[in-house]
Amino acid sequence: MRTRTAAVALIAAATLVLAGCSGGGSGGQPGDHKITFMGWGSPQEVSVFKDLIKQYEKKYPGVKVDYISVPAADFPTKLQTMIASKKVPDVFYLTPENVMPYAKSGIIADLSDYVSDNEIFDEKNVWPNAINMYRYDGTDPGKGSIYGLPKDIGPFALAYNKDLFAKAGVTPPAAGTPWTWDEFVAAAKKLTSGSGNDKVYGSAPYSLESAVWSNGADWLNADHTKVTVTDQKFIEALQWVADLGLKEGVVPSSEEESSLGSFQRFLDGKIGMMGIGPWSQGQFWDEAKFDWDIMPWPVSPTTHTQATWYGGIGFAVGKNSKNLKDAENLAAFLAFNEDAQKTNMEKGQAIPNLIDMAKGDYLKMDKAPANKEEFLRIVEDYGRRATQTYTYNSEWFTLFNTDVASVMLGEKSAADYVKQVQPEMQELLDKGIAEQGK
Amino acid sequence: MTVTSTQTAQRRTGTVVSFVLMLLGALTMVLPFLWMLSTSLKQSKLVFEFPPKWIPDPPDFANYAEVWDVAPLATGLMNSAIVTITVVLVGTLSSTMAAFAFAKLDFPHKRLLFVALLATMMVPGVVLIIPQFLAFAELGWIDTLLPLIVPAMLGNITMIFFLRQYMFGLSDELMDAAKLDGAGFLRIYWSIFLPLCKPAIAANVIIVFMGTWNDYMGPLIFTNSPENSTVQLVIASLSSYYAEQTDFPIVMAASIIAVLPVVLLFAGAQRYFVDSFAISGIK
Amino acid sequence: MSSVQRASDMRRHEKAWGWVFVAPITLQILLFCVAPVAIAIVAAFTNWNVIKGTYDFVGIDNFVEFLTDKKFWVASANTLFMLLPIPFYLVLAVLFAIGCHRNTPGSKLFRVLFFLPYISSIVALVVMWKWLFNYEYGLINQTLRAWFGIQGPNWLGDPAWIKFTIVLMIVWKMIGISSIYILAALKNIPGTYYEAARLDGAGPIRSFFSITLPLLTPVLFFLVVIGLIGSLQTFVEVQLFTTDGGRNYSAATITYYVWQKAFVSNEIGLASSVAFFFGLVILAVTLFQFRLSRRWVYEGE
Repeated sequence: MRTRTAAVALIAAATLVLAGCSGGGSGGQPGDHKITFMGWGSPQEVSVFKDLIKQYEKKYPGVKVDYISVPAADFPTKLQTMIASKKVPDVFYLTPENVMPYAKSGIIADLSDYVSDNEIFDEKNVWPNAINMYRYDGTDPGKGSIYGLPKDIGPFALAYNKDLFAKAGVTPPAAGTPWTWDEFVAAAKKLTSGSGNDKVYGSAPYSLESAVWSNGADWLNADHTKVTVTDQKFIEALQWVADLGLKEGVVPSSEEESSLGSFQRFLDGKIGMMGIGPWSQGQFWDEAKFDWDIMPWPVSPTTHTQATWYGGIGFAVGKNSKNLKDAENLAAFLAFNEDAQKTNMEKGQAIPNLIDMAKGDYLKMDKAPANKEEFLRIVEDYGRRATQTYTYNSEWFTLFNTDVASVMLGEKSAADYVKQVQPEMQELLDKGIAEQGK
Repeated sequence: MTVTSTQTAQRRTGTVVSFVLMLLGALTMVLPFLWMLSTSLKQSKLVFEFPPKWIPDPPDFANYAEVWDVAPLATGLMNSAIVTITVVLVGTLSSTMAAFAFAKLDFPHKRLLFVALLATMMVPGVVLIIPQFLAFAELGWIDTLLPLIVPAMLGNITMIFFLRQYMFGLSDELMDAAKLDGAGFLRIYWSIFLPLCKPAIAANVIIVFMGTWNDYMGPLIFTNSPENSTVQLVIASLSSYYAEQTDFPIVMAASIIAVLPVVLLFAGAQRYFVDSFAISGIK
Repeated sequence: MSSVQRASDMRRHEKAWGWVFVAPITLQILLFCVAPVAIAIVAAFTNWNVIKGTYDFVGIDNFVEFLTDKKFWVASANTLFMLLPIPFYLVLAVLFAIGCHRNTPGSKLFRVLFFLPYISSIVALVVMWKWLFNYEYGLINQTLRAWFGIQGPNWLGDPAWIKFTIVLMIVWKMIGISSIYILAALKNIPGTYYEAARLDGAGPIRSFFSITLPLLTPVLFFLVVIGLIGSLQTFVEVQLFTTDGGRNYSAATITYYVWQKAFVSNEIGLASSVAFFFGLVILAVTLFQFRLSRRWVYEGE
């Protein structure tokens, strides 16, 4: 009994000591500046970042970076606890919708001066839209001071399976001459075939943003104060998207979508057209056993205007960072360093932030899609930032999505749904605006 | 007293019925795991094969090798082990002590303290995250394993609750007899009541072990560096940001690796604890 | 020394030792529970928002806000639903424990197998469960189609079914672990009781209801109390199975609502008020159970 007690006590003590000891960060010399960088990512992305950080530390000896990678779903929780205890990371991921609230509360630093005068990149060589996602002038997002540097800008384009098109005898539209919705549906019908395991759908569920914006409508009005989902043009677009499944039968149903996502179906060659971002290129190169390319987004027959969204993540710098200069340099390095940009491009993870590289090396890359310019066109020309990133919070938007499935499943008409949901959305939007004012 | 033949026959049918039901139940329990095992031996694309194959052809053990490179699984396992073993060892001691006091000793405010104990279980943990983080930040314990160990090793409420109930069932005469012999409370606790509670303690030890081993929120919030991650954090980090690209086989392989030590522990330990119960006490 | 003196000395001795024994757990709750809970309770009456940096006293505004929020009541109804698994897994656990106790062949292996769900990481369990209940390719619906020719429902997507699926998972998870506790208690029932009953001519059913069940009531009480407290706080399953609590908020529980308010809307003050309110409800229910226990729980003789 004695020896057992002693053994237990010894083990406990030893593990306690071990516990206290473990938890030193990375190495480094005393006198080194230490900065923390927090983000998320797949194991591949994480390893790319680790390489970039090593390069940064080589370029700036005397600075050590603690890289904290957190599962994406838990990132907001962890960030909040750190903000609450005044341990804001020096550099961290920032989504465009968080620019306004964080900037207002003084959590993130104003990088405008740094952007105009730094040694890492030239402001004029960066996509304006990429930087604009992180601007805020005190009242409206999208203009004014810069509060974040883009990790990348991701235009959402329409990809298609060339082999399926050839088999069905469908000619894709040339760049610059998009289909109208009717032409799109006709093509999708031709592409849809088979049943059971051999079922091929003409298209993946259509992007609601593209449909709504192309039809001349939007979720909110121009100054983002009114919810405009009851606009006739919005209802038309929403119903059209739902009818692709309900009436035309060219897209998978919601249940089929939840069983096996369209993304996987497309890779399996069972879907003709699908929206993708540059981040999927790498996987397509590895896994798609067919020829694919990008086509211009179809347009509403009434307006003939193209529309789609672009998105992204940025790097923000904590306002009260003790090593502001080092943090700014890290953010800029991760965002614009040429070797890093090249790596991302070659791995098929993103299009370059740097305009000259995008228009030069990227277009010259000998890999699908052939129509790379479409990505760039979206970034420069007809792409838009998601509406819900303009408001103080996006709870009104979450509400819309809570049951839009009922329209897609045919349980409600688009008109009925928006009528039902608009007042509640307006209430939430008003609350958000009130919060913003305070 | 002889046992009649009808009683034997009854017993036998009873056993058969019992066996069949338990077998069905066990199948339901284990089927998902066999599935998990099967998936971990497949290559990514084959996961979505239809109809799905139970035994992959060929079985691909590469995932089990790859998983160690893709994520810091070894460190995760070690950290989980450090935390869990300490909490279990020290925590069992403190919990049994408290249970003994609640059940057999008389001291002021005993009832109140116990109710307070229970009450703490009822606050949804999510709201405690930020206050606890603030407290640990003050102490400088963030990004160490201490927040995961120190609070838990001071006692486990479930264990105390259960053992208190259990000890209520143990006769008070044991205690009186010991006192008459001049034994101190520490002695009574250690030499008399503790051994009597072995199966109950064993049951709870397994539960505390599991609770600590599977804790996700704690390590997520209180640790930062990968060197301090526990195994649950490592597994979660394997799920990527873009849901379509989750590499199921790797996640399954990592989960199997994480679960294996515990299963082995349980399989081995259950024989020692649950079966070596000796009926004692004054009956 | 007089015997009275000795007795009071011993009582003091006992009191002192009592405190020594509960010192660690008391320390834990004071430092790591009471203090944070106190902070949370104070926060319940403020508009603490970490992002906005506000921390002003707002009285009962928070309480009014969530009590008039439709989502809160939907979440409450969903949470009550989470109590459903308890009677099911308790009954099944008792049956299983009895099977093991009678040394049914294979018991040792079965025990390990029944325990597997509880010891697995929730992340892996959810991935596995999602796959099992997949609408087209999951094992469940495939079996239904193959054996019965019917198309199973959309277990995880349909608002009518998602709660049921979560309940099923909880039952599946909890049978094994509950049976461990019950088995420990079964082992503590002296065989002599059953001998005596048999002598009196009682059959197995009779002795179960007159001997086993009453003597199991303390452990069942424990499991019910713990089960209630745990089930009412269901959270991780909702977070991992659904986005935003499911279509129409069909799966969200109160704890999920609290988490959303705290970390999605950044309103820690409001979240704390809900948690505080809910904590009181759970406390009331538990105290009520203790009161009720005098009726049906058998305390050792």
